[in-house]
Amino acid sequence: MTMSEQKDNLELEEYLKGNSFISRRYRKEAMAEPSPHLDAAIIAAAKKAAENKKTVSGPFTAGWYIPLSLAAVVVISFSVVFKIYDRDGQQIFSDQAELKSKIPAAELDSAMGQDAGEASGMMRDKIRSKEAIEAETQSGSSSLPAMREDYSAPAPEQQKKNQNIEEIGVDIYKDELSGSRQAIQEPAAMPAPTESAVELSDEKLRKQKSDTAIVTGAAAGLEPDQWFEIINRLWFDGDEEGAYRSLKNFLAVYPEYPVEQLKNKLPQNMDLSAITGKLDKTTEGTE
Amino acid sequence: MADLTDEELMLAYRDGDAHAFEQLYLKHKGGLYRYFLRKCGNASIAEELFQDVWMKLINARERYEVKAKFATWLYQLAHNHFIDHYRKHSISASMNQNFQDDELENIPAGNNQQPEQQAEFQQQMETMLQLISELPDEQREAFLLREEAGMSLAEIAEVTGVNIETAKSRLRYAVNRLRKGMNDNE
Repeated sequence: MTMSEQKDNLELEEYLKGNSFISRRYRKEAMAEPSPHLDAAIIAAAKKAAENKKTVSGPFTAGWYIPLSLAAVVVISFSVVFKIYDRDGQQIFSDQAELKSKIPAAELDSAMGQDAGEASGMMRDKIRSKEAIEAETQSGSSSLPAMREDYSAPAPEQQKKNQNIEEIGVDIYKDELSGSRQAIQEPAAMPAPTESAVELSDEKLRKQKSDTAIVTGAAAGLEPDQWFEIINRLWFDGDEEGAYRSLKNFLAVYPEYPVEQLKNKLPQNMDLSAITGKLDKTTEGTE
Repeated sequence: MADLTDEELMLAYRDGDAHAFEQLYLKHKGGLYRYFLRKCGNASIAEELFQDVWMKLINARERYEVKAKFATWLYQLAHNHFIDHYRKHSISASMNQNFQDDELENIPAGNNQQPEQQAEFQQQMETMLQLISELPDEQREAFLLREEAGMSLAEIAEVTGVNIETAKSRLRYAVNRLRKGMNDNE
């Protein structure tokens, strides 16, 4: 540090003590002040601001009202969202209940008995059987052997499960088919059908239903007892033609089935001799 | 109320006591006004800046917390507002040429003095103010903060945003220049 700098520092220290020549001279001289009207304006503004604070002071001017408002908004938002979700959930449950009431109890039980994988399999089988039915409906029974070749018979346990599935699928499809057929045959703008036309339509529908059952049974590789159940049901439903066609298909699948047992399983008044030549021969041979 | 510190007065005003503000204002109005007047050299601009700073203080009262001395906070507002003002108007913050005229209007006449003494007094005052106006901005500000607000080197450094050594250096140069100028004129 040079002598000059040391001198400057000493002078600064003296100045900072407050009694230096410079300070005394400065304070003695110009004492400029703001104008009185400026003083009045500033003080008035300050008083006004203070009064405003007093007038607005209250429980809601404290610092906690902002966090409280935010908390209230959050709580209300959550309540609304929860309410919406809750209502949607109930809607879904009520839809399920409505659906449940539409499905027959037996079908529902069998469907509910399946696990998730089986359920998806069930849907696939439904679609497959539906396609098969459509193909059969369009091209006649001649396509049946080809379908049977393509069809790989499931294991016995699986077959039982499939039976239930098939029955459900057939019933559902029959309903759908009748509905769609009615929609096609009875458009809204068309005049009302005559009585004979209705009978004809019913006859066709019955035939279609029995065809469906027969074809589905053949495609599913049913056991003989299951075949008999279908045949008996068709017979007692009044669909004799369908019952005979089922029997014919059964014999195509089980040609060596004993005739005596067949007679015991089928309705008494069913004319077995009218079915096939083979059956006739067998019957004649036994007689 | 008279025994309260500046910080306590400001807290009282924050809580709605207008009299506390009045006391603060009377205590600091002269120093703050002269701070602006000698920085810009124009009475009307100085009054405008002076009023702006007090209005800022009034509006900021609810956020006031005692973090530093009240004077430090007040002059920090003033320092920043002065810079903003000149930045906004794109003019130099240096003294303008009207410094002496405006400043001399505010010089009180020495009623008890003889005409010769009055003339000498006015001459000395003019010299002093002229020397202050010729100081570089930073040195002038350091000097004014020391004289008008009674600030320490640390407080000057805080208000002007520099370290203590820089503030000390600025003040030392300012004092030396003023002393030399006054000695030369006597």
